[in-house]
Amino acid sequence: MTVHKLGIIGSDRRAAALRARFAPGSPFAFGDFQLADTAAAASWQAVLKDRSIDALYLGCPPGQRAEIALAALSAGKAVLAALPLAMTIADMAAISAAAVTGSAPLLVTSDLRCTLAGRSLLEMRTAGDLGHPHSIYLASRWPQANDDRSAAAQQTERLWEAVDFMIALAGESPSRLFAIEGRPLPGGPLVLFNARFGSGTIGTGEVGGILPKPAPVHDPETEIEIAGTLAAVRCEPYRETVQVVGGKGEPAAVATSWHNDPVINMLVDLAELLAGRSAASAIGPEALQRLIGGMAALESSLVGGAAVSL
Amino acid sequence: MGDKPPIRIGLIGCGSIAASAHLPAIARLPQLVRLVATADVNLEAATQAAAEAGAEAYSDYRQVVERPDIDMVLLATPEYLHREQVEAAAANGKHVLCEKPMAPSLADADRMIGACASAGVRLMVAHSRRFTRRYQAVREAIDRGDIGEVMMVRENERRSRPLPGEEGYYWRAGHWTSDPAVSVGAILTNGIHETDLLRWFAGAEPVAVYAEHSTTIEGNQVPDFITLTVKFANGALGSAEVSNCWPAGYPSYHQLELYGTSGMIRSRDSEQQGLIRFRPGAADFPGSYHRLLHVQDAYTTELGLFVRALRDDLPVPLPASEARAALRLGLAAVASAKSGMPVTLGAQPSPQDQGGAGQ
Repeated sequence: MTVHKLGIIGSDRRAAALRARFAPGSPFAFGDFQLADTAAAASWQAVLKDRSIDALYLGCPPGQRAEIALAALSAGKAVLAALPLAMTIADMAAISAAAVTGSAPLLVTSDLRCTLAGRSLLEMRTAGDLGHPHSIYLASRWPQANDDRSAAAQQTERLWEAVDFMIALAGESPSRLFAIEGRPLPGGPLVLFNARFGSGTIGTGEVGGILPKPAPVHDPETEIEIAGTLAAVRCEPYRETVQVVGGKGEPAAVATSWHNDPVINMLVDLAELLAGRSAASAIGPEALQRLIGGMAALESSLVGGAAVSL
Repeated sequence: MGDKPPIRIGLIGCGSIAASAHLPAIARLPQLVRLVATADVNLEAATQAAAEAGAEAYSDYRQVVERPDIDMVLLATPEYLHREQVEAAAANGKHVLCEKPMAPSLADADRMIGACASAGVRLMVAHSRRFTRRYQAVREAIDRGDIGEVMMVRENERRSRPLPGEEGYYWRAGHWTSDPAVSVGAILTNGIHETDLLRWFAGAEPVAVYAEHSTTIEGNQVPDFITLTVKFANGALGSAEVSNCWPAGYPSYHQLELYGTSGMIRSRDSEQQGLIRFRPGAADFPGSYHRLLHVQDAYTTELGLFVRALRDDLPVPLPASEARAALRLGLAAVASAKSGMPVTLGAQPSPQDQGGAGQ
C-alpha cells in the first residue's frame, strides 16, 4: 500500500480534527496517510517546497485558499479542501480548471458529503431509487456561539454545504432561489432559503447557529427529508455518533464513530483519487459550477430581498 | 352557570370533520349543548348525524338557520360556502362556530365579520390546534419567557398518500379540494393551521412572505405541496411546509420547532411511528395515521369555550380577526407562489381587523 504524506495548511476545526486523528494512540489512525510536520513551517510556500509531501489539506480561511490551491496543484500536489473552495466565482473556476489540466487531483467536498448517510443519499439519487424528488428539506443547525470569528467560518461553510447538497439531491441547477436572514447571531444570522428547480423539485433550507447552548442535540444537527415519486427518505447524517451529556457539568461531548467520521472519509476519498479512481464525495467541475451559480443567487437574494431567477 | 339551559346547536355540513370531530365534541358536552338540527346537501349524511341526538335533518341549511329554537350554528362546510351561510345565520340571529379556513378570500372574511357584528352575534373560526394541550403548553412556555425572544418558528406537516385499498383523505379525483373552481389547494385546506400557528407563536404580524408550491398528486388540479418563508414584524422568521405527497406508508407527522434567544421547543408526532415493520430490504409504518393532530380533546375544548362565552357573555376565546389574519398570510403565500416573488404585507392587519368585530 502506498502511504501518502499529508500536509496541513491553516488551523480550522477540520485541521485540528485531522491532527487528532493522527495523534499517537488515536483509534482513528488511517493507514493510507502519514501526517507531515507542517506546524513548524515558516509559510505555506515552505510547505509546498517540501518534496516529500504528496497532498495538502487547506484549512486556511476561504479567502486564502485560491492562491494556495493553484500553487499546490501547479507544484503537483494533491489538494483537499472543504467548501467553500474560494470566495469568488473566478477563483473557483480557475482552481477547477487547474485541476482538470494538471497532474495532481483536487478533492473539493463537505462534511455532509462525507457522512455515510450523505453518501448513500447521493448514491440513491443517482441510481434513481427515489424517482423524481418532489421536495427536499434540509436543515443545518448548531449551538449559538460566543466567538464571532469561528462562528462566521462555520456559518459560511455550512451554508455552502447545504446549498451544494440540495443541488446535488435535485440533480440540477435551481431555476429560482429566495433567501432571507433572521435576527443577528454570533457569526451570522439564520438563513432560510427556498429553491425551485427546473423539473419542479422544490427545496427548503435552513442554516444557522440557532440552537441554545449547550445543545441538547448532536452538533452539528442536520436533518434531510426527501419526498420522491418512488421513495422518501428521512435522515440525520451526523446522528451516528456517541454523545455524552453531563459529567462534571461540562457541555455535551460528541465522539464520532470511525466509519461515520467525515474527516476520515475525506481521506478515504483522497486516497481513491491519488490511486486514480473516482471519489464518491467529490464535487466535480459541473457540480461546482451549479453550486457557484446557486450561491451567487442566494447572496443576491439576501442583498436585494427578491427571488432570483437563474 | 349550571342552571342555564344548554345552547341549542344546528350543525351544517355533515361530512368527515363533522362526524370525526364535532359530533363527538357535542356528545361530550351534554350539560352545555344540545344538537337540535343538522343539514347537508346529502340528506342521508344529515340524517345519520342527527340520529343519535334525535335531532331533525334537512338537506337545505336555510331550514336550520331559520329555526327559532336554535342558538348557534356549527358550520362544517367547505370554505367557499362560508360567507353565504354565515350571513344567513347572522341575519337570523344565530351565533356561528365556523370550520377553518374562514373563507376563500379576505373580502368574504370581512363580510362574515361585518354581518356578525351588525347582527350582534358571535363568530369564531375553529382553528382547533390552538386548543390542543400540546400547543397551549407551548404558548404558555413562550409567555413565561422559557425560551427568551422567539427567533424562528417552523411548522411542517407531512402526509402520506393512501395505502393500497384506502381512499385518500384529500386530493382524490372528484373531491372539492382538488377543484380549482373552489379550492386554492394545500395552503388553505391544511396549511391554514400553519399560517395561524406561525403568527401565534411568533407573536407578531407577518411583513413579508415567500412561497413555492407544486402539484404532486396525479390528477389533482390544485397545488398540494407548499413551502413558505415568513418574516415577522418583530424580526422572527417563520417557515412552514405542507405536503401530501409522501409515499404510502411513510409516517404522516406534524412538527413544530421554536428557537428562542435562550432556549428552544420542539414537538413532533413521534407517536405516529409507533409501529415500524422491518422486512428484508424494506421498513414501513403500518400504524401510520393520516389525521394529524386530530385530537378530540381540542374540539371539545374549542366548542366548550365558545359556548361558555355565549352563555356568560364573555369574549370568544379566538377572535375572528385571528382567523382572518391567518387567511391573509395564506393568501399572500399563494400570491407569492404564483408570481415567484416575495409579497409584502403591512405590519398591522387592516383597521377592520381591530377591535374584534363580531365578538
